[in-house]
Amino acid sequence: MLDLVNLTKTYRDLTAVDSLSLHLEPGEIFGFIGPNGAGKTTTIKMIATLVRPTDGEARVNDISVVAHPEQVRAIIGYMPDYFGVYDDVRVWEYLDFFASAYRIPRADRPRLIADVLELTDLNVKRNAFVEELSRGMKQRLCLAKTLLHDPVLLLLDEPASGLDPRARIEMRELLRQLRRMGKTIFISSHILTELADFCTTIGIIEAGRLIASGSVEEIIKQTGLTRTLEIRATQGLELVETILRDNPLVHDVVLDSESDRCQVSFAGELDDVADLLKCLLDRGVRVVQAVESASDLEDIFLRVTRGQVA
Amino acid sequence: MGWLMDNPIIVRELRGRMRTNRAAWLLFGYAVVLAITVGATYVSSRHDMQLLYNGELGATLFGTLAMAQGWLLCLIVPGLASGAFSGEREGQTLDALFVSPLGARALVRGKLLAATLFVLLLMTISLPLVAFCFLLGGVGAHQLVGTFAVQAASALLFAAFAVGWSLTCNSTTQATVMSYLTVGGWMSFLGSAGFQSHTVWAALPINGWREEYAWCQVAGHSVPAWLTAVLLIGVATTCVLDLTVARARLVRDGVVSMRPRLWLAGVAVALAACCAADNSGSHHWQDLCRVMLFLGALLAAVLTVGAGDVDLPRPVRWWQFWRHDPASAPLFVALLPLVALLARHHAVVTTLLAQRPDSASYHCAYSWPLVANCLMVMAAVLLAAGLVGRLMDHVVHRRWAGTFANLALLFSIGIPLMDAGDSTHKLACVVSPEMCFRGDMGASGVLVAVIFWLGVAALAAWLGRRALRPQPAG
Repeated sequence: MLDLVNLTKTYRDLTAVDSLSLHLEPGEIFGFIGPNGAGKTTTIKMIATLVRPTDGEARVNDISVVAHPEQVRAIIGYMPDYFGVYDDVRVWEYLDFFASAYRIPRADRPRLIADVLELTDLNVKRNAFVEELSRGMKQRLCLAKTLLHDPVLLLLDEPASGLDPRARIEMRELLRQLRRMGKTIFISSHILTELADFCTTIGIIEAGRLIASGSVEEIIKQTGLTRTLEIRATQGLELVETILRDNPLVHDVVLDSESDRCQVSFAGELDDVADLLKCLLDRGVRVVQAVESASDLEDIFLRVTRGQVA
Repeated sequence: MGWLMDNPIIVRELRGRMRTNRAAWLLFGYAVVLAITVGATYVSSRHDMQLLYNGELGATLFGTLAMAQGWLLCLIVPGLASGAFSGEREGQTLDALFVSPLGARALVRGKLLAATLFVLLLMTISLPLVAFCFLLGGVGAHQLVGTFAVQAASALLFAAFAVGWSLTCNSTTQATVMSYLTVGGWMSFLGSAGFQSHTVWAALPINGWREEYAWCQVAGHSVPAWLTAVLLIGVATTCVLDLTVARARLVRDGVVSMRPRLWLAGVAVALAACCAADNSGSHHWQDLCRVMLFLGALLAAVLTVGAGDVDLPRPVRWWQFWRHDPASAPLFVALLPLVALLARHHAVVTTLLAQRPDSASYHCAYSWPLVANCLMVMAAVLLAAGLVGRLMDHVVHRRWAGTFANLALLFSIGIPLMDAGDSTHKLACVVSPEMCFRGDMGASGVLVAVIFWLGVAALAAWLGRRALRPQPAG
């Protein structure tokens, strides 16, 4: 679906993206993570044919973005991080404009516009002027515009930036729905928890270089990092500590007697976690709760990156 | 009209524009200004017995109306169209537009026609006043058609200027200023060169139809001057539009092919042929050269305005003029005078020799060695212009500095060209390559000119390389 081979972009003395290589399968949701200025937007703009790579190649559906940008534009949907909308038109006129730009036949447009408005929950605003919409609604309208021509690849650059918590949740729900529809999505964000439970694979970029990519599990394995488990037991925390420390995959255990919990640094995979829990239960420990810390992606990110920008 | 509605930009722009109060006020103001102008002229002229006796009151009013409308177009069109792309950039909607499958040509055409259609609506408002002039007599249908055709063509050209600048400039303010300057330059050019050619005179949008300038000779036939004027404006518009499309492709795809430039060279041939055919009045072939050089200066200004969006590596930008870089403009611009000179030489031999009493001296004055001299000086001047522009661009970190340096240099060529007729000083050709055509300039003058401009180019290149040298850390 998407192939990046040594993709490089330099601006005079600055290398914004440095030999980035990546492969995405159809239906994959790729989370592109990195600090501000790491090169996320430049990478997405190169795939979207808006910035010409200095070196390397990007192909969408085996079509080169440099050699055939017009063909690539017809099959991708790009939502920029900062975008404006035409305020002087109504919502349906705005969508009709882009539908026409994407050469969708006039007869098909009303149905398509109704579909994307339904998907983005903007049906009630169909005849409203765009300037009357809230920021979150404009963001959804932009996504609706991006979906009009049924693109095979969605490039979403910080789709939830600048949104309040409610709008952020709505946007996340919308993205989940797109995932269920089988869309291939390349999404960037610097808010890591946003992507943790959403993406099938992630890539971490820093100073223009892709320093890790794959599923969260693979990255943990690749980088030798540990996952953090939080285990709560009603009694016998000392026994729990003993059992945990006997396990070679456990790096560290921190007890919190007041709340009957312990934090475990664990280097194993999900099967190993299951084995560990089974071991605890077999030894008579009354485990009430065992969760993997939600901040895993942040931990990975913080440990992998060094705070550099391109 | 179907093809118009198939361009989504035209539909959106017209829809958005006509919804605003600004459009309504503009239409109202336009009608009021024209009505006051015609009314005031009528009040002051209605007792003029000479006009009444000759039946020229209607023609006088129509002339005033045409002039007022022409000036209003000069004022309104650049303001309407100069935000075409820069406004999108400022409103952060340009990316969405560029990532759509709309081609560069469709984008430019949409923006241009959206502005021009509104201007046509404005012009339609003046029709009742035209009818009033018509009723008073002295105005013919051909006069009406000719004037409106020239004004509509001029509106299209002005819109093309503005759309081109809006794609080149970062802000709408810059684009507006440059559009007004370009329109002013075009009007000044037509005004100054118009006395030599009926076609050029008729191309001024502020001129109503006049009997003494109404016709020109094309291949031995009398042709309405407004027709050749519309052709001239059309050629200029096509040039500007093609450059704008090339610029759009550069901004969007980072690539510009040489095709538009070669195509433009063909247009230059057509322009030269058009001028060659118009041998009415007291014109002589220096005007043709001036036309070409002036157009060359304008094109150079547009093309060398900087390659900021290309982000080519620095060393490439300094010397690889030909590799998809607008900086190759000097080479392209050099093509224009070459074409002009070829046409000129041919015409001198075939036409002028037979007509002018001093044909022998003319032939002598315009012989090939002198043409070669002129080309050498032109090449040196353009090389210097390109390199100084690049230097300014780098040193000041402002693309505009480079542009203005170029403009200053180019106008230092163009302005003396206008008044250099009586000058016989050899140093004059340092700033005016056209002076090389004078038989009394001699080789020494040409040598001085070439050395001077190559010196400027070398200095600019040397300073540029020095400025590019990495500075030691700390």
